[in-house]
Amino acid sequence: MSGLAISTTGLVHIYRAHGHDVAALSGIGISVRPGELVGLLGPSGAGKSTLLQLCGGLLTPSAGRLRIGEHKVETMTEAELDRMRAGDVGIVLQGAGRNLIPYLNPIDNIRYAQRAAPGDRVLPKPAEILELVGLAAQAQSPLTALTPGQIQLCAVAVGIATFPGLLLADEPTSQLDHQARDEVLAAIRKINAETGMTVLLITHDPEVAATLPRTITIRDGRIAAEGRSGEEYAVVASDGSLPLPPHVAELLPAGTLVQVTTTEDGVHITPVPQEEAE
Amino acid sequence: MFLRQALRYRWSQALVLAGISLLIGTCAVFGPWFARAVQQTVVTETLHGQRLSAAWQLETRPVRNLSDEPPKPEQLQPLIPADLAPLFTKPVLGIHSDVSWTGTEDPIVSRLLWRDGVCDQVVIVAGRCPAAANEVLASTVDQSTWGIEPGQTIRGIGEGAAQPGVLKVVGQYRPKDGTADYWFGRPPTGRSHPPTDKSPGETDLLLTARPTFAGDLWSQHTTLDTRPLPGVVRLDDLDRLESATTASQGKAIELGADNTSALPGVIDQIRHERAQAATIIPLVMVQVALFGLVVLALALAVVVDQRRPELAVARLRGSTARRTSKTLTVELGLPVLIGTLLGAPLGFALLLIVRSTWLRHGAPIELPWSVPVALVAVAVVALGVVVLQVRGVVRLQIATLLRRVAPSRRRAIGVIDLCIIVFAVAGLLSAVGGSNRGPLPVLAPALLALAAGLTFAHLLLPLAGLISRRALRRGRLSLALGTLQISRRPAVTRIVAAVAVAASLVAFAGQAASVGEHNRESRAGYETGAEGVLKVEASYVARFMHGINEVDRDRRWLTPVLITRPPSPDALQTVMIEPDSFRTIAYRGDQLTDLDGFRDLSAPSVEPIEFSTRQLTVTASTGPIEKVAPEVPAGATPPVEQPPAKSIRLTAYVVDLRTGARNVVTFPPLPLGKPPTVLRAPLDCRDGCRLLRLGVSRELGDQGGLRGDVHIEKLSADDQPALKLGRPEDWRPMQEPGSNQDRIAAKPGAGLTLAVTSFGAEQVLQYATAPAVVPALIAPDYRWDPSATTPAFDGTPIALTKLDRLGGPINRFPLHSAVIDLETGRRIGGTVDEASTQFELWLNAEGVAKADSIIAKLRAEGLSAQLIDQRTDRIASYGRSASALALQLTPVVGIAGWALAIVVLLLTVVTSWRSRAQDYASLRITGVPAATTGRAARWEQTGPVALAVLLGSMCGVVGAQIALPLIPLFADAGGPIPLELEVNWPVAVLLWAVSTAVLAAVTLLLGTGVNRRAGFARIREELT
Amino acid sequence: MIAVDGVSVRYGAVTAVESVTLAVPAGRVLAVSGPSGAGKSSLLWAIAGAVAPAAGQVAVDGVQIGSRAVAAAHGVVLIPQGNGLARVLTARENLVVPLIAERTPDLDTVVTQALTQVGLAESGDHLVEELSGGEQQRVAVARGLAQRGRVVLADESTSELDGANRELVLALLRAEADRGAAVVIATHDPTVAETADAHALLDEGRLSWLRPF
Repeated sequence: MSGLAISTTGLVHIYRAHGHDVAALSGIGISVRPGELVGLLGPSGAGKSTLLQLCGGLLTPSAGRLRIGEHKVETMTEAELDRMRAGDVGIVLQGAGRNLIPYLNPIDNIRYAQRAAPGDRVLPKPAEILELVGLAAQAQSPLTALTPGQIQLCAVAVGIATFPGLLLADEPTSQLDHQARDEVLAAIRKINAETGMTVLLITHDPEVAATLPRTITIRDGRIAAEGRSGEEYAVVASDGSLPLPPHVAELLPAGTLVQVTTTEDGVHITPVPQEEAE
Repeated sequence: MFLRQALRYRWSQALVLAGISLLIGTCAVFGPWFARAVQQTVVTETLHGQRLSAAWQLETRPVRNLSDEPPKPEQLQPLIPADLAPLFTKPVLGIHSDVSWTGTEDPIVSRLLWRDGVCDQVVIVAGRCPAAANEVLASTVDQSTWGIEPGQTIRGIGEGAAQPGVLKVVGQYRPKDGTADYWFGRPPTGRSHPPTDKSPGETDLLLTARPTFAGDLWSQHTTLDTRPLPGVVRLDDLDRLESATTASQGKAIELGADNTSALPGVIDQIRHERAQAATIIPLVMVQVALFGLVVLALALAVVVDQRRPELAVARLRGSTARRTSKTLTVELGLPVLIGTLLGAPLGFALLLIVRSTWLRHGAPIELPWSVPVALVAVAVVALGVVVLQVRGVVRLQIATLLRRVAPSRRRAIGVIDLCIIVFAVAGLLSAVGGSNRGPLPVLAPALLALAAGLTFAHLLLPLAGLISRRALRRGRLSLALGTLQISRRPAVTRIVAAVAVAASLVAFAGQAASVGEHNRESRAGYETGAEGVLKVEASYVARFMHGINEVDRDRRWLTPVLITRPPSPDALQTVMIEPDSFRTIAYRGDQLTDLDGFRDLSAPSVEPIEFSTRQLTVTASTGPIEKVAPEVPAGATPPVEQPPAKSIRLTAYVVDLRTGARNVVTFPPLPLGKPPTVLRAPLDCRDGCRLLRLGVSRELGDQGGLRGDVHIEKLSADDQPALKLGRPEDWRPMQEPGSNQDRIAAKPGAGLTLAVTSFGAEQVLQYATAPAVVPALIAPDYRWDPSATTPAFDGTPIALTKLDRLGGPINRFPLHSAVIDLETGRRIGGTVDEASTQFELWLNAEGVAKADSIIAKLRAEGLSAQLIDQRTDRIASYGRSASALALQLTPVVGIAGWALAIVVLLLTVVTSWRSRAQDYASLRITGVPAATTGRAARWEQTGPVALAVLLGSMCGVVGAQIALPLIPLFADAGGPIPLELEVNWPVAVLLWAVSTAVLAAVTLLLGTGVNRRAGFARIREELT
Repeated sequence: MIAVDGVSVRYGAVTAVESVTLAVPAGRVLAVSGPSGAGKSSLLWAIAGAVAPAAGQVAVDGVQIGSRAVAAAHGVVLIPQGNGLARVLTARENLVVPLIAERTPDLDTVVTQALTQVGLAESGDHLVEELSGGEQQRVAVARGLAQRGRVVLADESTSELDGANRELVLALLRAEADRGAAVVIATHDPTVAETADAHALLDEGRLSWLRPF
């Protein structure tokens, strides 16, 4: 199966905490092409995990549209979402252990993850998957015998147990040392390259982010920036608003009036001194 | 698919689930099984204990016409239906005839008896067993009374027989065991008496051989005795037995016979006990099973909760909620199902143990239909619990499942808990409020504890929060940490509720068992009268008293009790006791009445007037005599004018010291207004007599009214020229019915002066050795009125005055009894009517132990006695009643309660120890001392658990107070012996202490374990 | 002043730290880095007295550290990896309890100040389990700060933090040093290590490279 595209328009998610409605995402519009490898960046609490869970059908959007391939996620029933996860979307949750059945070895964990796949789907062999992530040697080892890096690899393997069109991975490299981190990243790249699976992964590690072909930074529930191969760009939203990078935002506190002018070499933003504005 | 791995990974949890289910299954199976077995045992025990009532005793009436062929006992046998014959003992056939001796002055009667194999049932002390016609064995007692010895002959004539016959004595026997089944209540009496004592004279049984009855010399009653076999007759036979009994009674009449069996009444009683067993036992077990189900539900909730991450993974990989729940249901349902089903063999094993101990093999091994039904029902319910618990969690949203900690539900004060509290209180009220004596009250303690425990648990959380905040402010760390753990871990409410219910079950079990036992013991004591009762065959009170004085003059082991029964069952019977020895020997004898009561009861200590003589001589005169006319009520017809009074007659009532006979001596008439006259009357008092009363009567037909004094100057006997007649105030007039205008009184003067007003009726003064009106303790069931009387030995009425000092039920004879002093009874005297008088010796424990030697000594004194009743027998018999057997289960309930409470504790620890240990480790790494966290770890559970045990124990005790009056402790509700349902505090305190110790030990151990595992390495665990 | 002299830490047959000798003067910050399993945590735990060295010894201000109790009494504060908070307590209680054990005067002020420093003044009454991973980590840091140790050992205390909060925590640790504490930061983040006054690199338990003070 080839990769699935992701496309969102005005995606909003609101949850209730301590008696208040909190908007985790307030109008996200992104578009990911099939087979892309995209990193989600942003400070904690920005809404990265929420976006990931929405894509996996673990949460339902409060408003807006969300398309995963052909799936119109916001309209799907629980059963349809189950079916989507059973075949088309693989999820690797933060904390490798949470993705695994503790009493099963890696190969059985993969078999476990394959159980719910639709009957018409041709499933990859579990050994093949372990080979892909580089865990073939540990196929029968109990999980307790694996290193943290191997456990994370196993979690990734389980996430792709059905060769879904989309892999969602939440902080797959946190709490790993550099060597393990690089192995996991390499495995994910390999999966992306060899199967054409679309990958959306969350990271807060700038080093990891720098190696990704595309990154999307989310701040305060909105898209703050996009990166292309390590280079950061601001993104103009569908309503024409433009979130400023943090170091610019510091210079232009909220409420600052700016003059936006177009010149030959681009668009200039010039703050208007306060006295002048009055 | 991965079931095997899953089960192996959490094998201990599976084991716990299977264990709880095993308990549930066992209870479900054991309840109906045990109930059925108890019912069977009740049949066995009742038939065993009421042998005589249950027996069929067929007896023909003698044929009128001797030329008719008398029926043979074999002819009665067809009255037992062939299909029921195996249920009966081998019938004992018999023929007997009452023979009047011929050639004696006074009438003498003997019963001539043949019974199948009778010689084996007596001890032949001389001669041989009769073999030919008209040979007899005579009793040893008849040797002393009549001098009957082997070789002699007895001439007599049978009832309605034409000619007398001759019986040849070929041997002598001594009764062996009159209570043996063989006799069916009609053993040799062991007594005989000559007609001089009482007419007619009687011998004991004359045992003969069957050929004696072959001719028509002796008219005959034929008898057939049999009884249903205990242990063979089963529940299902009862209906047939009952109808066969009724049918046989009808058929017997056609044969000219009677079947006097009381079997239908016995069967009725069995049915009554059955009903008790069928309600109490299943209910008790249902209680445990229900508690088990609740614990199973708690355990499952915890277990399922622990599987949230795995459920999340399954759902994450696209498993539908349905499929996920199916997988988990199988994983958890399997151990539950296996455990429940294993309850069947375990329940059966338990039944076998109980059957051979409590039930004494009184029940057959069978499989009542209710057992598999209960097992299937409980298995279905247990699986239902699994399904419900699994569904509740699996239905959660994945995002919720993914959260490590369940969203805090502390604020939503458990609606379910609230419902449980409301239901428990409602159930409690209906259990208490309903006047039914049915099964519901058994639930009262558990319901009470559930309501109280949950309420307490919900109060505990905020309370612990409060304490923790105060403790934190004051820097008391251990207390603060412990209470914080309590207030933040709502699981403690489950623990507290479960522990409270368990402690309550234990406390209730203790109360029910101990109070039940106490009542069985006290009831057995009151019913027996003392530790044991000897029935003594005696004809003379004096000989009886002499005999027992020879055996035990100091009354260390026994107290005599004599009972005389009135002809009418509604009238009072006399229970004569010896107050001093009764107090120490009888069961709770000192509580019959207080010291004043016993003193009032005792015979007055007045020197009796005793003499030996062949005649009595009185020297008497009258003072001035005036003529009086009877007072006539206004409007009534005046009586016919009577001629003037002619004379008066003095009478003396003397009691024969040997026979007790009360003889009246009537002196010749005493002329009026003459100088002192000497009057003589013959009297046979060679063995000594005692003057009881003096009377004034008149010659026949002399009814003219007179009033004046009669001076008795001297009363002399052969051995005493002048009897001391005592003070005038020692002579009290006796009220005679109908003598409403006649008066007599003793007054001061020389000798004894009697002031008399007479219209012809006899006036009597009784000497103060016996009160004219006897003080008596009257059974409370009797509607007292001052005219009530009670029979003396000879049946003559004794006037009574009621002592309002009865302290408790009257031992052995709680109904329709008047307790008077035995010595008073003796002084009043009267020839003993053997048919209505019973001689008993009540024994204390030591006396029972020495019963054999006492019986032997009595025999040496010529008194045959046998132990007819023992308190321990009655206790044992009550112990095998349906109610007792049912209540015997309550300790099982208690132990199950403890076990389940410990399971709950273990569960919470198993599921929470890791996070608690991590918490404590986190604190310890910041420098909080291990001792502090240790104290907190130990007491965070021990504190609430100890409080819960206290609360539960109190609920159990209170619940017992509510429930016990409603639980039938005995088959016959009410009864004359009041129940003693006071709290048994020693048992309550002991069980509370044991419950606290057991559960606190568990929590302390667990707490210590948690703290020991709170090493620093625990913090690292969090990383994986 | 921390003096680590030839310390080895072993767990059974596994050697976590092998003959490490280090010294951290008061007022300075040492970063210890290296891959997972290099022995960073074990070294910190040995300094904190939470694990007994198999060889060598640790001294704080000349006092030999024999146990966690001795270390705690001499102001050795450990901010463990994975934060090591008591989950059943609130953030504030997590700070308060150790201070009570130390009999710190004027507790409320100290606690409030520490929570404010990490930006969690508002969240003090939340149960730890209600806080996010980053917030929990900051609570752990605040707990360390509130204890005002002479030695502060921070084990991966920035691993779950975003950039701004990482800067904040590093600044706070620096402030601890400025107050006069000897600070050791274990991290696998090279950028964090660069901010320290000295940098030690551990590899398989051995000190493989050292940028001295």
